Amino acid sequence: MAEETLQTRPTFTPSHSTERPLSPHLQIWKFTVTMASSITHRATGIALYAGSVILTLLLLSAAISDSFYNSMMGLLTSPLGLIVLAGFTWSMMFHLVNGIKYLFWDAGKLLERKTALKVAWGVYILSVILTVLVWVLAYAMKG
Amino acid sequence: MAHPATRHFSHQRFTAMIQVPLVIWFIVSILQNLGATRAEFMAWLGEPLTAILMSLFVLSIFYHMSLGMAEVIEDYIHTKSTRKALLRLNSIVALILGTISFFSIISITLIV
Repeated sequence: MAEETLQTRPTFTPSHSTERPLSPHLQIWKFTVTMASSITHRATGIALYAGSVILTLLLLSAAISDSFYNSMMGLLTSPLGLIVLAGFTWSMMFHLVNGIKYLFWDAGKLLERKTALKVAWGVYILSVILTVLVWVLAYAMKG
Repeated sequence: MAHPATRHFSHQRFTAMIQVPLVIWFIVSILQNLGATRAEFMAWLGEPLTAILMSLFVLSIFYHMSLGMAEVIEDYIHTKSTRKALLRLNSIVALILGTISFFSIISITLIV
């Protein structure tokens, strides 16, 4: 599969040598969890960009009118809304934990290959645990 | 002044660090307020501490997300004119969303 994809991509020949090399594309990477976490970081970031529109609308609706607020809150507390919120919660927790990993990487830490792979798995696991914890905590505090 | 790329990098990291505690606070608070009436929601958001934390949160996320999306656009949009237009649009969207959110928080603190 990987080789097939390779053949369909333009290859470097001496005639192209003045062009700048491209990064390897998604299709020809061998799967590693560090690669997956990098892609997931972007994907969750883009999802949260969309989520920020919902936050803006919620804040605006509370400032503006009862009916606007009620329909916003109605959407968020509907079954579909709760599923979406759970998805956003996980996106936030993943982006948070993986973002902290990047702060360590920037400082030159946790970069050794085996460590980086272990940490990347840990990020996925921790993001799920935090998502559950945050919901449990919120509902416990709600009483 | 730092090179724009360095500034982009350091501002992205700086806003990220601010958000580490704020995100946890934010998500727990929003979930706690699920199903709140408008009056309850406004009373919560109108408290000085809530309003300050929420303002910090929205201002830093809208800046952070515009920086992040700019990187995605730079990586994947190779046509110069399209890239420029999308980068502008990205900045404008973040500015508008940030302004609406910040304004809403302030007006709620004034109404409550």
